[in-house]
Amino acid sequence: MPDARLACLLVANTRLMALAPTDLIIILLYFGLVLGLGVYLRRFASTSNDFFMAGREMTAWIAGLSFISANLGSLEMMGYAAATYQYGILVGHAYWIGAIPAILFLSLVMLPFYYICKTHSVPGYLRLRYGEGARSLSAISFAVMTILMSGINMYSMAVIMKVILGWNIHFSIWVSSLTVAIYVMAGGLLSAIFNEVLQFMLIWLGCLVIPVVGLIETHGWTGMVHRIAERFPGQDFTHMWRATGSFAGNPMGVHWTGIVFGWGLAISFGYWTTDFLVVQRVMAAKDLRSAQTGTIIGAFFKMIVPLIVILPGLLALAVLPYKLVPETMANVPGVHTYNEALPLMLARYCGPGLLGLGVTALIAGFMSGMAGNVSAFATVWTYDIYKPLIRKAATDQHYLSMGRWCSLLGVIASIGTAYLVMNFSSIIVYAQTIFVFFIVPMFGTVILGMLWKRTTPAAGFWGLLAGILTSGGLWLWVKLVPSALKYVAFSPNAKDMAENIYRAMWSLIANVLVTVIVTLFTIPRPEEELKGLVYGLTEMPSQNALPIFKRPLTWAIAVGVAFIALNVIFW
Amino acid sequence: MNAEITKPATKNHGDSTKNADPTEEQARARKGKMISIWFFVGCLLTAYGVLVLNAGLSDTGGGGREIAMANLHVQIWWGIGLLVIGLGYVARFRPRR
Repeated sequence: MPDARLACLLVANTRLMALAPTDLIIILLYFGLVLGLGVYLRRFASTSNDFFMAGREMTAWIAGLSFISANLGSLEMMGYAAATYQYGILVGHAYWIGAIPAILFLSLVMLPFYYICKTHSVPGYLRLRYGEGARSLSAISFAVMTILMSGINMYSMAVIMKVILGWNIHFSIWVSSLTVAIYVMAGGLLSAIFNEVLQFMLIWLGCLVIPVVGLIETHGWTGMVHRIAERFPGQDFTHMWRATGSFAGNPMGVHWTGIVFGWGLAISFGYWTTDFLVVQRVMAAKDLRSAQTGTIIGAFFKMIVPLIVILPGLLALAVLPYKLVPETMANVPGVHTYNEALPLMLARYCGPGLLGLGVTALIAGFMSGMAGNVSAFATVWTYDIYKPLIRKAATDQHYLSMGRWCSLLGVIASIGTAYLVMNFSSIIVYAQTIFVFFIVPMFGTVILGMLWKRTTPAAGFWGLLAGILTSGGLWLWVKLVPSALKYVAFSPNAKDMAENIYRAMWSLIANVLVTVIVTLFTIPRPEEELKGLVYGLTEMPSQNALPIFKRPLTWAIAVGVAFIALNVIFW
Repeated sequence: MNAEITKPATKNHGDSTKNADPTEEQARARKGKMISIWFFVGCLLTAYGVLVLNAGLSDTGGGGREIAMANLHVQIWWGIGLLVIGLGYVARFRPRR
């Protein structure tokens, strides 16, 4: 039993905080519940449709919360809180312009195509639209990316548990991954979705303490802004757009055009509309309207995540009695790094019990992130690599057991990656850029395929490849010749985040250009083959019969209005 | 939008994306109805509410750590909140015959 060992292995060396017995009980209860849920859900996953698509019977709320939870990992939360401490509220663009337009677009424009063609995965859509070439390329790159992400997630969790609580790194890696392996093998996507809903509740209830108590301490928003200006004079940490008129005017070294086109268009649309990890969740909804409404519910919650991520970062700027330092200075004794911003704020306000809740929320975030990666990997591997390329005709039970076993395989490969990352720690930085390599160009290929019936199979494949190569090539260019940064990101002052934003933009441009040019020189597929796949050739279910408050469009408009209002308020 | 949550997970009647395989239908009937995830969420939150409230009432000043704004007694308020939310979910989504 992992539970018994957990208590024994708590080693007391240097650490940020100490847990009281109540805190430990809270953590153990969580582990107990997820393992119990795995065992309970096993009998509901008896066909491959149950295992990979959760039987396609999730309600809008469950699909939507799981959709947003798959994205709200602990690594992201701590990373964005740290980045807020470093760059200010500007980082919040990741949650607003870098997410909301894309999520609403997914819900209203793209989901109907994914749903109507009954595909199991995003690479599956590419096969229906373009054929095997584009599918295999996207499936294999997705599988590689997912395992890398999962391993990095696992390693970061172990490091954070060591820094915060003094836990042994190997202990954290093995206990968490074995727990994930057990419950994903048992229940498949259903287990992953249940855990994401659980994680969603825990993260909100565990982390909301920080902004509530923090704003009481600083006497509200104005008091906080005042304190930050006093402690960090001359820097604008509290405006979303005002300082983005020039590259040098803001701490991130980015121009508003980069935020709008690189972040708001290339990265955001790539991630939210074609990363199968998140799209899989809403594809598991029980019908198209639930999928669309669920996505919009997800957009609403995404919009308020800055409350528990960006606000704690700003509060840390205002109230921490010392200043945090970059990761490169982590070896200096007695200092805390940017990455510790969120845990430090947690420790600042949370007494026994609440601290356990906060730590459980972080652990839940890591574990469900891993589960999400593993279940998406199992689906893409089984449906898009194993079935078409290795074993075409087998029984449903065969694919089901393949799904279970390669969930375990996914976990083992992730553990391998985690140990690899441990020995070459700079890989963590490289791997974050992998995402821009593979996902961003996918958006161009998918959207041109959905909206333009002329797009040809050859164009789908070559466009995707061109996007991946452009992104990889630019990254390599800047690595080998650092001065190339001023061409890639338009400014020698660009920080990592700004470089990623601009590289994404170039990658999307290359993808679209190559796709369009190849299309013009090759023969398109006959129209009758594209029914149900392309705009204009697909019959959309009418929602006019529904009362206004039940139509996804109504709620999308409401979220859109709130999104614009927030940008104006924090301009 | 409340209707979305309360609707029981009915098994896809009239859902065109579902293939009506008779063996699958039988398997479904055997498995019975799934207990709502919200029930499990409710149980966990109730237990957490009790633990956090108890820790707040028997507060010994942060277990040796210095807690900012300790005069607010956040644990007590949070504990009560968790308990109320947890019990609410348990009552609403408890398994029924």
